[in-house]
Amino acid sequence: MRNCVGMILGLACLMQPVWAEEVKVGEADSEFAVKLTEDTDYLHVVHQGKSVKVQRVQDPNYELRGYFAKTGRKCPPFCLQPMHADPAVTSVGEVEVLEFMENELRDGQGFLIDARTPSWFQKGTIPGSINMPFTVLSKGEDDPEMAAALEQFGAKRRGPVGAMTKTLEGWGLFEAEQKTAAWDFTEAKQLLLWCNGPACGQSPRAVRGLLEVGYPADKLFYYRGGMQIWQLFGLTTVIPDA
Amino acid sequence: MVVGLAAGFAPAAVADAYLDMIEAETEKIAGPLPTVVDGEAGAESEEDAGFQEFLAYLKEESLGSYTFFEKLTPAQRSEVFERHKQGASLEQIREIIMERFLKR
Repeated sequence: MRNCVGMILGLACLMQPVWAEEVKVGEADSEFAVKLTEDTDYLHVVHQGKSVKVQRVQDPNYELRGYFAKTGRKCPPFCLQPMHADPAVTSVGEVEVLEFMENELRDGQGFLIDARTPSWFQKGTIPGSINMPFTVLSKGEDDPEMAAALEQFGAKRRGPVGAMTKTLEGWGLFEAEQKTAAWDFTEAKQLLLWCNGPACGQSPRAVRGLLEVGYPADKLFYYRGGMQIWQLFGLTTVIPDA
Repeated sequence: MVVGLAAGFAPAAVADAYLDMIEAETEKIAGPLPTVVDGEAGAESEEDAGFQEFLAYLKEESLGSYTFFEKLTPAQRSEVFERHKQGASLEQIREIIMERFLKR
């Protein structure tokens, strides 16, 4: 209105469109001042058989406090991690984690993996996560714990492979990139792994352990922000059942 | 041989030390995380007040949707009920039910 002079000009100004620089804060028909994304107030995710509402803290003055508000821990071992756990594995942010919850997790096509040790998991986790510690996912493919984890993720143990099949797979046929001599990952689920945040090495170790046994890199995702950034944005966490 | 043994055990010792430090760090978390919802508050339940009324409403207004609603998992039913409590229209509720049913 600053350029409007007189009634006529004033009326003309009233007819002007709303300029893009006028920022809307919240929607009139939404009770959520702090939405998950521009289009989503909240979502539901199944955690240990119960539906949990995932949202952000609605107090715009909320400030993170407690353990995850700390800016540093002794390094080593709590050293900043590279953006990527492995060059072949996609790193993701919060929006992608939320999309994963709404799609792969809900449809049974993926697992959200809290790769921390059980004592961390019990302190609180991201809803929908299952606890599969890096200590398990760093083991060899023949280790019973690793084998059980891989089977849980949908991988299948392979029986003896004939010479002809081996040859054809060597040529890249029969989805060879999804198989090792011991495991068939064709039906394996997508895994989104996370731990305590940018200075946590637990999920990167898990990612590398899975790659080591042949889990396809395109089925692995690394949420580097982890619990610290999840908390920073005031996103819901849950205490798992014992 | 001694060198060989030392080399063989070293990674395990390093791994154990790393694990010890990680585990010790959990002691520094005092109380629940600030954004935690407890099991009862965070989980929607079919025992919530109004759930039976919602069932009756759905059955009366859209018997087909009610039939599919019954086939959903408890968690999915709770989610639909929660959306109803948030003021979702019958049309929106029907869409959610069908989407969840088709993606079971």
